[in-house]
Amino acid sequence: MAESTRFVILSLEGDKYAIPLSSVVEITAPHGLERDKNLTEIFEGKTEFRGKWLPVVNVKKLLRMQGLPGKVLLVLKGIKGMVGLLVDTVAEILETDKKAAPFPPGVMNPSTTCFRGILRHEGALVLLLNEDGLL
Amino acid sequence: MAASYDKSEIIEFFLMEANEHLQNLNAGLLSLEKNPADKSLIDELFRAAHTLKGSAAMMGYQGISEVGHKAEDMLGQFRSGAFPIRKDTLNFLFDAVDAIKLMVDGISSQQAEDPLVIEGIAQSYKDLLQNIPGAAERPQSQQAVNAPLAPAQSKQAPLPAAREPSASSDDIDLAWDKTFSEGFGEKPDTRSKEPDPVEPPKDELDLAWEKTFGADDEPIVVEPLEEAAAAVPAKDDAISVEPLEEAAAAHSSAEDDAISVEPLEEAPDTAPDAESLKIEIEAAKRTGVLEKRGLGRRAMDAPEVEKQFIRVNIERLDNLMNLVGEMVVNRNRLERQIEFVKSLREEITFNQKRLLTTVKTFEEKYEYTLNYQTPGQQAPAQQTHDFFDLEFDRYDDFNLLSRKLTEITNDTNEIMTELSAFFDAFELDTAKISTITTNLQDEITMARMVEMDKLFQLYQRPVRDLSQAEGKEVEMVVTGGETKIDKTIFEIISDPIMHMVRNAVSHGIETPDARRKAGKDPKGLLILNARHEGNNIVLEIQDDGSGMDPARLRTAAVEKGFLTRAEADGLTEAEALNLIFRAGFSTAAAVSKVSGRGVGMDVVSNQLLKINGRIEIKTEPGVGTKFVIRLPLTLAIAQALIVKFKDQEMAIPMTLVEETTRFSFKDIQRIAGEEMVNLRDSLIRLVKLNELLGLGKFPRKDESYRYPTLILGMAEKRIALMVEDIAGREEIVVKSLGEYLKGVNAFSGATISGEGNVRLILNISTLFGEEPVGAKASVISVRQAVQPVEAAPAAPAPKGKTQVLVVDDSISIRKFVQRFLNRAGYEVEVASDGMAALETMGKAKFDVVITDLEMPVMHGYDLIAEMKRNTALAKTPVIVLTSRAGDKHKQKAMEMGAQDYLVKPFDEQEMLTALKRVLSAAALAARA
Repeated sequence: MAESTRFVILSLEGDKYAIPLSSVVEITAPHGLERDKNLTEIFEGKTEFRGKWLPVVNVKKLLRMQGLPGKVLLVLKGIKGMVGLLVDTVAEILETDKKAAPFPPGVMNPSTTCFRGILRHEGALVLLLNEDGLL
Repeated sequence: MAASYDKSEIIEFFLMEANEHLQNLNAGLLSLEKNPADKSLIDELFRAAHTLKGSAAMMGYQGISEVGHKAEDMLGQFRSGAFPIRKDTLNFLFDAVDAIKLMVDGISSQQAEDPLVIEGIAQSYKDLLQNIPGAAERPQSQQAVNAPLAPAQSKQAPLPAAREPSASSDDIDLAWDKTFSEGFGEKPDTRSKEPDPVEPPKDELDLAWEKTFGADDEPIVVEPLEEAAAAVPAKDDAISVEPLEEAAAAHSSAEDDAISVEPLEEAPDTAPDAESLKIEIEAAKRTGVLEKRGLGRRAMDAPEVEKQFIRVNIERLDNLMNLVGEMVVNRNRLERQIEFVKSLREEITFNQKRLLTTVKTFEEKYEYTLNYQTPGQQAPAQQTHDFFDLEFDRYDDFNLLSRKLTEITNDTNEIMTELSAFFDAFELDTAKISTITTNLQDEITMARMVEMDKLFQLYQRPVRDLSQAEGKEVEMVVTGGETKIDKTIFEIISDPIMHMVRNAVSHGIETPDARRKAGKDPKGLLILNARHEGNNIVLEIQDDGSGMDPARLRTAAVEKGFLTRAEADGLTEAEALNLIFRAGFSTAAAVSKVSGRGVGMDVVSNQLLKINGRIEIKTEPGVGTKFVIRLPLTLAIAQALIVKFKDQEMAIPMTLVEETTRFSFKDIQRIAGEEMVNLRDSLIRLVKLNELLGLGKFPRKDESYRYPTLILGMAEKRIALMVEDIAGREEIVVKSLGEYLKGVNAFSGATISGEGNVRLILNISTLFGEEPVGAKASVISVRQAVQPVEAAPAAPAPKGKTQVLVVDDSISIRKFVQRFLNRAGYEVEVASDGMAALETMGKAKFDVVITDLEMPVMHGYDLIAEMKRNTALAKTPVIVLTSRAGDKHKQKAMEMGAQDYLVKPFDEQEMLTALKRVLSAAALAARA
C-alpha cells in the first residue's frame, strides 16, 4: 500500500492550490497586521505569532494575481523559518496516496519556484505550492 | 456584383447566422404582436431582416434575399408608420420568415430555392399593399377584423400605391436594383410582376390564396370583395356578389367547399397572372410545396437531412472529450488491474496444481508403507485379522490428513474452476467496456472532425491567382479530401499549408517555357493528399517542379551569413535541405517573388511542433518536391511512451518518436562539445533526459549497460533521447497545465496514470529549439517569428502585411470579406459592431477599417465619428461597406470622414481597388 500524504487545499481567486499539511503550523485569521517599510511589496506586513514577529506574504502578489489580499492566514514552517500566507479560503484537507508530479529542478525558472509540482484533486489538476520556494 | 468564387466554405456560417436571425425574427414578431407600439423591437426586426437579406444576396441565395427584402420593406413601413401593425401585415411577416426558413433548410440538403415560395410571398405582399388603402374606409365591423394593433403614425400619408416605395426605403430599393439587376440578371424579376396601377381585382386571388393557405381561422373579408366586384368592368356585372358573401360565410364556418371560385375565374381581368398563379397554387397544394409554409409545421417539414443534425457547442464537445478522457484513464486502470488479477490467477492456479500433485504423490507414496505406529484411530484388529491390509482403508491420523488435504485441494480446484469461469466472463465484459470506451472516444473524436477537403478548397483560389500572376500554369489535384481532421488542428495547420502551397507554386513549379525546355508538360502539377496512417493524419504537398538543390541552399546559407563556406560544404544533403527550416532563411529569388510569404518554413515547422506534428522533405532536382506532414489525429488524446526516472514517470508523445533503441555510455562520442551516438552510420546528437531536467546523472550501472534511447525526428533533424527506463506505451489524456504554467515550456501538459498519479508530458519540441527548457515563452507567434527575417541584414525584408479591420454584424459577411482579403494578401481582424471595433483598435493598429453601417450596439456612423474624435485613430482610413445604396447615406458617410463607400454585394476587384486607393492616400498623407 502506497504511503498517503495529507495536503491543505486552499484557494486563490477561485483556483485551487495544495500545500503539504506537514508544513502548516496554524490556520487562523490575520489579526494585528502591521506594515513594515523594510519588507518588500509582496509582504502585506507582519504580525505577532507565538511571541515572535511573523512576516505575512500576500500570495496573490507573489504569483502576480489580481485581487484583494486573502482573509485567511496560513502559518507555514519552511527551511527559512516561519512565514504567514494570506489566502482566500482553506477548503479541505486532502489525504491521498497518489503521487504528485514534481517539477524537475532543471525546468524551474523564477516564475515556477513557488511550485513543487502538480497534484490531482477531484478530477482536476492543482498546483502544489513550494513552501520553501515562496520566499 | 456577386463575388465569383466558391462560397461553400462559408455556407455553414451563413446557415448559422440565418437560423439565428430567423429565430430572432420569429420571437420578435410574436413579441410585436403583443406590443405593437414597441419601436425598438421594430428596429431590431428590421435590422435582422436587413442583415439576412444582405448576407443572402452576398452568398447568392437570391430567393432568400428577395423574400428578406419584402420582409424588410414591410418592417420599414412599420417603422415609418406608413403601414399599420395588424394581423394581416404580421401574418405576412410570419409567412415570409417561414418561407425563408424553408429555403434556408433547403440549403443544407442542397435543394434549390422554390420559385413558387418566392412568388407566393411576392404575391402576398402585393395583395397586402392593395388591401391596406381600403382599411381606413372600411366599416367598423370590417376594421374590427383587421384592426391595427398599433395605429399607423401617419394615417394621412398616401400609402405607397403598391409600387411606390416609401421615402425611407428608396435606398433599399436602389441597393436592391443594383443587386438584382446587375448581379443576378438571369433571375426572373419578380418585381416586374407586382401590380400595376391598374391591377386585376385581387379578390379572386385573395380567395384562392386563403383557400390554399388555409386562412380559415380568419373570417373572410367580404367588403373588399364587394368593392372589388364593383370595380370589375361592366361586363362582369353579371357576377353576383351574393354568392361570394355566402361563400365567405360558409368559409368562415370552415366549410371550404362552399367557396365558389368559379364565378371569379370568369372575371376577365384576373386572367393570365392570377390564372397561372391559381394553377400553380392548386398544383402546389397537390404536391404540398406551399403547405410547408404554415407556422408550426417546421419540425415535421424540416428536410430529412436537417433532422439528422443538431448544433452542438464546441465547448460541450470538449467537455465530452474530457469525460471520455477520464473514462480512458479508468479503462487503462481497469486493464492494468485485470492484468494484475490475471497474473495472480495464473499464480494461484499453478500453486494449486502443485499442491494437488504434491499431496497425491505423497499419499500414493506413503499410504501403505507407513507402519502401524502411526497415531490415531485404527480399525479394530479382532475383526480384521482375516483380511489383508489392503482390503481395508486405514484411519490413522496421517491417512485422515492426507485425505483431507486431497479433499481440500479438490474443493479449491473446483472453486478455482468457477472463479476462472467468472474471471473469463469478467475479462470478456471488461474487454467489451474497453471496446465501447474506445468506440465512444472515436465517435466523439469524429464529432470534432472536419474534412480536409474544406481546407484544401481554401487553396484553389490562391493557386489560381498566384500561378496567373507569375505566368505559370498549375493544376491543383486533391486526393483524400474526405480524410477527417480535428478542428483545432485544422485551424493551426491552415496557414502553414497555405505557405507551402504558395511556395510550391512560386518557387517549385517552373514557367511553361522552362518546363518545355526540361521536357515536361508546360502545366505544372500540385498534388495535395491526405490520408490516415494509424493514429496519425498524413498530409502531402507535392509538386512536379524544379525540386530543391542542396548546392543552391548551401550557397544561400553562406551568402546570408548563416554558415561559413566550410560549414556549408560540410553539410550532408539532408542537412542542407534542413536549412529551409532556419528562421530567416530563404534563397534570394524566393523573397522577391510576388507570392509574398507571410511566414517562413521555420514557422511552419514550429507551428507543426506545437501540435506534435512533424515534417519531412523528399526532393529531387528537376523532378519535384514532396513535403510529408504527420499530425496526431486529435490533441486531446495521444499515444505516448511512458518513461521513468527514479520513481517518477513522464509521458512522451509518440508522434515524434521514430524508433526506440539502446545505447551504452561507451557508445557516446564527443564531437565539438556535443554528445553524439552513431545510429546506422549517422551521427545523432544525444540528450540525456535526467540531465536535461536537472535530475543529475543516471544511476550508476555498468559502463556497458545499454540505456533505452528514443530517436526523435522533426523534419530532417534527429535527436537521441536517452532515458533511464521505458515503462511502456499508453494512450494518454492530455490535460492543460493551466495559464500560470504556460511559461514552463518543458512540458506541454499533464496526464493521469492508470494508478491515478499525475504525469507530466514532455514537450519534445523544446529539444529541437535552441531555448533552454526552463525558458519562458516557448510559443512564438507568426509575427514574432517573421521578425528575425526582417532583421536579417542580408535578406531583403518581406513587406509586412496590411492590417485590415472588418466590422459587420453579419458573420457571413465578416467571414466572406476576411477570407477574400486574406487570399489577397491582407491580414484581417473582424469585429461584430462599432463598439467591438473600437476595442479591437485599442489593442492593435490597423491600416484600414472596412465597416458596415447598420449594426447593433454601435452604428457605423457612430464608429466613424468615434474614430475621428480619437487622435490615434483619426488618420485610419475608413471604407464603408453597406447595402444602403442611397446617395444620402453615402454623402453622410463621406462627410463624416469615410474615404470610400461600397455597396453590398460588392465586386472583389472594386474592393481591392478601393483598398489600394485609400491606403495610397493614407501613405501619401503620412509622408506629407
